[in-house]
Amino acid sequence: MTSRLLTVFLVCFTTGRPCFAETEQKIPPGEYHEQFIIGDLPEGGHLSADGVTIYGGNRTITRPSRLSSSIPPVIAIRKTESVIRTRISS
Amino acid sequence: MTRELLNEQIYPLQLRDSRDVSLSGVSVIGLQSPDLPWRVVKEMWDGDALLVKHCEGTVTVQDVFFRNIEDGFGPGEGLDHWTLERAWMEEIRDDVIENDDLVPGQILNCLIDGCFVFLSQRAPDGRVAELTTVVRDSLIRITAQPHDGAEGKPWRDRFIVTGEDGIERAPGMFFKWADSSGRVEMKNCILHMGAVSINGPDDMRFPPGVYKNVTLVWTGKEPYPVPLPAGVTVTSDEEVWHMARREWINRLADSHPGLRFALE
Repeated sequence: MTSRLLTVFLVCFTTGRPCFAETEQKIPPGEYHEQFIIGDLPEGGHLSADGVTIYGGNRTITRPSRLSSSIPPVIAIRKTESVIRTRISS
Repeated sequence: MTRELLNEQIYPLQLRDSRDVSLSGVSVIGLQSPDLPWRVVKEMWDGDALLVKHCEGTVTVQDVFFRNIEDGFGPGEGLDHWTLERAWMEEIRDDVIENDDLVPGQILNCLIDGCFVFLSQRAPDGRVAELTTVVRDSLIRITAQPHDGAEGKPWRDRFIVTGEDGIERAPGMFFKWADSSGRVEMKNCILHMGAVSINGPDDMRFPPGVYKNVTLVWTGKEPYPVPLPAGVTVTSDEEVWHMARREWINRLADSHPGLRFALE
C-alpha cells in the first residue's frame, strides 16, 4: 500500500530557493483523493493549504450483516481519482 | 472488513518529521455515509483527519475544516506543545481532538459542531501526566450520531434512541478522561448537548481544572445528570448556541475554508 501514498515534495514557495526557517510553502489549490504525508518541513516553516481539499473514506462497502436493517447500505459518493504527484515550486 | 482494505483513507493528512511548524487552510472531508453506525466507522476508518507524527517542538494548526472523519486532530508524542486555532469541525465520528499522548496544547476560537467526543485525553498505558489543556473562545456541540451499541456492554444500549428515520443514535461526551489525564482551563466557551451519553452519566463529568464564563446549553429531558464545576452555567435556550454559531461563521466568512462546504 505504501506505493499508493502521495508524498509532497516542497521547495520554498516565495523564492524557489532551498527552504530556510520561517519560510512559507504552499500546496497547490485543488481536490485530492490520495493521502498526503508531509514531512521534513523546515524548522519554523509555515505550510499554506488554502483551497486544498483532501477526501478520504471513499470506499464502497457492503452492509455488514450484524447491523440493524434500519441502516442503509453505503454508497460511494465519488470514485477515487488517480494519484496526483505534485512538486511544489515557486 | 480490515483496515488494509482502506489503507490510505484512514489518515488523509499526516504531518511528520518536522519541528516548530504551522499549517493552515486545508479541508479534509470523509466521503463515507454519515449514516454508518459508530462501530462500523471505528473499524473501517479509525484515523485522524490530521495526524502529527514524529514531530518536535510546537505545531500550530489554523483555519482548517474537517467533516465526517473518525477523529479530527491527533497531536502525537514528542511535541512540546500544540495549538489548534479557528478550526471548524463537523460530524467527527469519534474524537475531535485525540490527545491520547497527553501533550499540552490549546484550542482557540474553534467551532466544533455535531461531533461525538470533544477532547480525548486518555493514555492507553494509563500513565500520569501533569498537563493543562487550554480551551478558549470556542463553541462545542455534541450530538447524537448513528450508533450500533457498545459491544460487550449492553447496559449502555439503553441510552440509544431510535429517530424518526429509523436510525438508532446516541451522543458521546465532551471529555474522554482518566484520573491521570491532567487539567482543563476553559474560558469564554459555549457548549451544547441534548441527551445522556452512550456511556452513561458518569462519563459526562467535567475534568478538574478552571472554568470561567462557560455556558452549557443542555436540552435533555432531565437536568444535567452530574454536578458541574464552578464557572459553568446551564441554560436550555438553544438560541444561545445558534446565535453564537452564526456569529462565529460571520466573523470568519471571508477567509475560512469551511464556508464553502457549509454553503453546499
